[in-house]
Amino acid sequence: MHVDMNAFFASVEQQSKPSLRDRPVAIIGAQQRTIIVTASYEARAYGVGVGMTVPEAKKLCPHIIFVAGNNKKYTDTCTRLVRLYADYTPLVEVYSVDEAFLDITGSLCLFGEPEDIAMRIKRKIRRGFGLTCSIGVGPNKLLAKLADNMQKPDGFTAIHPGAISEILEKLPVSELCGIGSRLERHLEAMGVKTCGELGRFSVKELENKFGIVGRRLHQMGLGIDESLVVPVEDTPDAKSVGHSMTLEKNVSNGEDMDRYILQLSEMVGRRLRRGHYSGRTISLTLRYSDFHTFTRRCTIKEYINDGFDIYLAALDILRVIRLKYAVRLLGVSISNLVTNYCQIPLFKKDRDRVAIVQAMDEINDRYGEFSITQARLLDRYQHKGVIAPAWRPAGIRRVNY
Amino acid sequence: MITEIGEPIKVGVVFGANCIGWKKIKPVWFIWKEKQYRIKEVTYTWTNREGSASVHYFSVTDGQNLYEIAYNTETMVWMLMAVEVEG
Repeated sequence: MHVDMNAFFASVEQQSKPSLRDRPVAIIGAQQRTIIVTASYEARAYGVGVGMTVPEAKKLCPHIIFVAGNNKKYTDTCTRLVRLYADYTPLVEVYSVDEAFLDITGSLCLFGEPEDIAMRIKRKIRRGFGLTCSIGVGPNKLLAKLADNMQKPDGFTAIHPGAISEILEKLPVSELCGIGSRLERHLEAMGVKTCGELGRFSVKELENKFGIVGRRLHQMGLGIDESLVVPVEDTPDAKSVGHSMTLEKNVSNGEDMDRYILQLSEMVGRRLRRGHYSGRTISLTLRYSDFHTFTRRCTIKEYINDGFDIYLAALDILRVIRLKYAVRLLGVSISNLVTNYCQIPLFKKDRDRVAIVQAMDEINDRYGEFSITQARLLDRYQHKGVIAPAWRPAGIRRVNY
Repeated sequence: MITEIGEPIKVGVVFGANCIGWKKIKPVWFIWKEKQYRIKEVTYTWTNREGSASVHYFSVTDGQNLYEIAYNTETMVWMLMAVEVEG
């Protein structure tokens, strides 16, 4: 089963503020330089979509209402929705903040047919949050998501095993989750436009063109998907931990960038320590004012999780970059991770540093992030951020916005 | 127009009520600057961790304006966080 909250952020705001109900609403970032994150169905009717700029949306729908998003509201709602799903099955995979897969195979004997379970969930969401969702049911995740997309908003569709080939025969390949516009163009160049054609296409030729993905594409064309529903607690360990932010204004000198990098590094360090991770490959991502984005990495000898050490490593990377344009986005991340790494400090200076970081963590745990921090970050950028696709309601992927 | 307030308020709350978001408490009135506001609808609720405290947010309306009130479980204080005046 796949559950998709309809126009999630916009619907939450319309529920919160009665004056927004039945009106075209677009959710934007809290910063000045922002884009449309979600649009209500009333706004979508005018052609307003995700990723548009504010002037673009205004041109299409002059009376549109822009609302700055509240990530805390959305992530908390997602967390509570997952608890609701868990009433029906322990196998809940949070696919994104507004989508989840539920394996209800073992729940049918308790709750009845998939449609019964879907209707119960829809009713509970409507009553508990005032929100609507679309639900799709199928023999696997690929088909459940496909079914979900067939009827929106507030829909329910089930794809039964006997109907798979008929549904897929004339379905454009782009309707399948995982086939984007680039892949669609490549397939079209090979004469493959529908799922039916994809399922009949030679696996060998697909493998020659796309490598190991070729076999997977062939299976997708046949409606086969063997991937399991992975609950949050079984999610594999993180491969990297990072934060990025679009700056309030473009910056071009190293000194201005230093402070942003320190802030990002401290955020990364806090999350690493909370998850008992350390890492030794530090990456610095920059986006120029012309939107050209690139990442530079360095690997150091020691595993680290102190924000200041991450900052120093990121600065080393920055020093060798010759900036061509002003920078609008900065990101710091760390990979090559290990868990529960501990190097006993030999010298007093290092022992003191470890003790300071530990004491600061305890204070911030109690009073909130950045309650105690480096003096340089006292007037830090109050960045609200966007909810990363990798956000999850628990574990290292949980970020408190 | 949203105005951030951040002032402590007195709140009348019903325990065990059926509030949106399955909250076990439902605010029914609040007093701010010696004026009582009767809550007509709790439109949304959410909870945020702020350090070791859980802060329960309630978006409420008196039929005219929209208010955001919050209860901090650590300090046991209700606050009026923001007011959104219609029009």
